[in-house]
Amino acid sequence: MKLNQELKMALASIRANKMRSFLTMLGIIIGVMAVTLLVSLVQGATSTITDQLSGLGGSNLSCMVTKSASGITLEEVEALEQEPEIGLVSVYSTGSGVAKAAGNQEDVTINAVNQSYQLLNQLEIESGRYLNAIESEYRLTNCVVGAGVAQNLFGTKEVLGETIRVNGKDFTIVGILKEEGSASLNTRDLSVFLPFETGQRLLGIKGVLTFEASAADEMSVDKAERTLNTFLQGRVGEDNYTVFNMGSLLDMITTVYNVLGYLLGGIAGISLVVGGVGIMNIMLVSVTERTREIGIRKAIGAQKSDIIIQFLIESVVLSLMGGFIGLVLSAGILGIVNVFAADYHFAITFGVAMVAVIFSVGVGVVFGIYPANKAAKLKPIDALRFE
Amino acid sequence: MKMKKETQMTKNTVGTVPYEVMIRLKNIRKTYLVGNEPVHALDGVSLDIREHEFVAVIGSSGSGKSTLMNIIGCLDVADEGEYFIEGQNINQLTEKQLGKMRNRQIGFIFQQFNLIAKLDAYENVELPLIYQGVSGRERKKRVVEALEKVGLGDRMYHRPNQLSGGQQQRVAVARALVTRPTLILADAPTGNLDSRSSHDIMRLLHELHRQGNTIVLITHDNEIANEAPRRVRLLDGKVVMDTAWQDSRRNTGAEEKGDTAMIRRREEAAR
Repeated sequence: MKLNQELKMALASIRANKMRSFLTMLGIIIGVMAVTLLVSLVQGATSTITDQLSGLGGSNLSCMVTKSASGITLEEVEALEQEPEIGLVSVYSTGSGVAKAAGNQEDVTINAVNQSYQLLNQLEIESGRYLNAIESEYRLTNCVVGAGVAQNLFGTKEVLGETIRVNGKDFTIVGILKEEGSASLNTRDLSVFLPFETGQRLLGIKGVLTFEASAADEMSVDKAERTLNTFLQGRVGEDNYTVFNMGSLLDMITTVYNVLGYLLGGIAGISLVVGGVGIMNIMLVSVTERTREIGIRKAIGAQKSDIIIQFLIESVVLSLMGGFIGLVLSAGILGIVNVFAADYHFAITFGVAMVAVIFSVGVGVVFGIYPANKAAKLKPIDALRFE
Repeated sequence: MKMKKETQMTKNTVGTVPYEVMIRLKNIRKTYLVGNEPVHALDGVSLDIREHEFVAVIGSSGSGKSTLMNIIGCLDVADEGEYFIEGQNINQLTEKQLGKMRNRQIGFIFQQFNLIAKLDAYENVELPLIYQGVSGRERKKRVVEALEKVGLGDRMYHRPNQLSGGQQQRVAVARALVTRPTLILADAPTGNLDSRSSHDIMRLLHELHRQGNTIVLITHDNEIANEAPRRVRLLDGKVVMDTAWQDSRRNTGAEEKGDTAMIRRREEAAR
């Protein structure tokens, strides 16, 4: 018997009981919606957070000297860039301070940085330029400011060439960074960047205590980590430094979020199973109601397999329709969430959609097989006598 | 169609059942348990029906005629005895083969019409052809032909609830004949109809008979039964009257007599 005939009949019988069909589907709709929504939300949050963490220097090795008698010099640290397994070395010192200009003042983060800092930390310049090595060497009083600093002190971002007083010392603004927004984990909107040695002096720090290094490529991360360990051990001694691998932190966070995603998806999956039981229940009622119809069909020559296929198709069509409606609804809800949480981006991935659809078909088959088999086993003579 | 019948007849002459005997019931017994009491619904029924015959089976309720109809229609199997359709021993068939038998060899007309409510007239008539695996184009041709034959060419897309009882029964007749079955089995087809619609249905059955169909009509209405050329009366699960016997006793219808005698002899030989 042709499948499209069966499909036509299944659709006809679903149409014949619109309200009941909808209520039956509701279980699947809610189940699929819950699964796709939760998994998509977790996926969206994971990718947003990992994006931000890699903005912090995802594959970088972060080094910190905890105790040092003599300190390390800038030249020694920057010489590490010559090692084949190491890419860039970004040196920085951080402190807090107050910036004043045009009669306003603002609490800011002071960053004394070298040239590689911009590249490693993906600083984006809105206007002007970034600091160079000469400014550091000659301890020039130039600076780059975050968008928030310019906005809060001057009320505009057009502040190139203006003078700004940081911790009592005047600096000329040579560059302004792009605005990053409050969602960013380490917003640099309220930061002032100074040439490394100028900044060191302002902050009263001697020698290099913190720096970040990137590996030459992804394969050499471990090797770069060993090189840094050897270098630091030789300079400051064991136990007086830490080397921190951002990549492994990122891996860990991703793993935690994935586990969370599976867990929530699994819990939501229970509602899919409940929806399946709903389908089975209605199909069983339907089999009883249609005993006579089954009898007629068998009397005029329907085989067992014809009846099984008829009822199976009906339950699969029900669950598949429910699955699609659930998908569409959760896509709609995610769209609304995206409007309100502008910094995040939530979307149903193709994989999640496929799993949802396959699951709903599976539910239709698994929970449809028993009623279908029950219908097919009816004897035509008993079914015809049924009133 | 004519050709097909003839080839089947030739086959029968070499099979278990001789010449044009289409249906043969041999000492059929069927017992039901009502509570713990066995009730003999059929108590040794033997009956031969030949091709192109129009036989009415008469009996009051409880005479076993419904059980007989179920067995003839392959809806039920006898406890004892043998049943052949065109030489095929029905007792030996699997459930699947019985379904095929009902689909291809038998056209049912029921007292309660038994149309599927959510399908229109066209789809109801089409259904047995779908189960048979007939192609779409062929189905359309045959369904339209059958519905026109019963005078419902203009109501093909009406649902059963949009049709009168007589019209519904005519849809059922169309469904029965669309597969070009060996036998049309009508179970009290006029039982739920007014006299005018009953008359229409009987006229239709007579016409089908004239066109060469074999018809078994089961009824408790003597008036309806009297329209059939051959009448068989059941009482307490036994055949108590068959006009074929009377014909042979009266020595009329020599052909019929010869056949019956021959069948009897063969039956005795079989025992």
